[in-house]
Amino acid sequence: MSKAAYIGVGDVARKVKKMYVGINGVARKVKKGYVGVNGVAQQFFASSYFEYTGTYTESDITIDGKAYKLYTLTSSGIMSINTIAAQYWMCGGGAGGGVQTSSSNDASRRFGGGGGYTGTGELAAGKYTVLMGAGGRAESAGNSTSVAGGMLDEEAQGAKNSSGASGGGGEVSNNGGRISTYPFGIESLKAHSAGGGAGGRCARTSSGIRYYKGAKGGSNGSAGNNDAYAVANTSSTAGIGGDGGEYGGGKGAKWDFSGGSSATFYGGGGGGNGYNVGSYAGATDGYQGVMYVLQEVA
Amino acid sequence: MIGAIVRNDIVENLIVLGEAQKAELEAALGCEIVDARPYGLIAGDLRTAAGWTRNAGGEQMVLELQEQKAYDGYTLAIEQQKAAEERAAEAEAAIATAGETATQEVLDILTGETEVD
Repeated sequence: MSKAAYIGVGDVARKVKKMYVGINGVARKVKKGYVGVNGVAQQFFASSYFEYTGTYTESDITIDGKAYKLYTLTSSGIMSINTIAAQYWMCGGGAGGGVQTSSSNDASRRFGGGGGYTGTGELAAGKYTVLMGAGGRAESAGNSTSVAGGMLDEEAQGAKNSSGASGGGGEVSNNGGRISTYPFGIESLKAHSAGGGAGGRCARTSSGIRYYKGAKGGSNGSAGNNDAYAVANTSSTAGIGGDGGEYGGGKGAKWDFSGGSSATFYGGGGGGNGYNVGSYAGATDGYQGVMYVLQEVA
Repeated sequence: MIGAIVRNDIVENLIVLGEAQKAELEAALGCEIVDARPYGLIAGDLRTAAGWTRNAGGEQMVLELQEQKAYDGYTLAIEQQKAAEERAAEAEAAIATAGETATQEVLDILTGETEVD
């Protein structure tokens, strides 16, 4: 049975979007309506219905001429949703930037943190537990975002150090998820899960002191750059940290440990540490995950 | 708050949540949620009779109370940074006054290590 109700207005059938009934002098919104058919209660009306106990925002968005409600969930909670078609998109927390603790020529450990992995799917009517993954601390993996309820139990993992939906920089390649990180493909929501930039480096080589720039973090599912070795310079200004990927990946620290920054957008990885001939510091944190729910307006 | 999901005394995941959701999420998940910040907990940390511990090189190290100030890696590294800055200043002074051979010797003394391209 159709769950849409219609009413005649000026000889035109108009779809009923909202209903209210008066209860004790207060207008209450009707969420579901039923009629008896052959002794069985059949639903004939369902309004767009969304409830969440955690922190979220609500906005209106139009896609291909169709109106939707977009819910942005930023903390964990219990979500209730009705039968109106809905889908979700989520990402895990970004990893913290890498920390080089070894005295060997292990520059790959100055990598920026990877961006959190992504996940998407359909939501049926019901109640769901949503867990919002935290960003990883420096040198720690990001944490998983998940949604579970009914037949659904899905997880978007936090990034594992340099690997993730987008890769971090720092001589580490082939670590991006190579899938778009725009939620539902909507560019106005920005690319998520950017990789962090790698840290800059000062090293003593057989030909003297050399400075290396950190590589840039990956964006929109791409791997981070791995071109840091291509930049070797005798000037200390060359040893800066790599930029974070777009959007909001953390910047890597300079060789003298300054200038790094934590990730600033959902799923972003932190910047890698600076390295100065055996000393290291300045790695930063990844950013938390997020979940979006896109629901058709009835 | 940043909450650690704890099952069998092991941290499984860290989540962002409001204090008001702690009880309902514990009930929904059938687990314990503790504040991750005081000890800077991460996934894999283990609670023992000695307190929260972390595996480091095969050994469970007891975690110190961080008074929430050392949750980010940068703060944790401040002391290392100060020491490194002092060493870097000493090295630069040596470079300004000595030839390449002497610089090599100074750096060897200061760092005790060698790197090759």
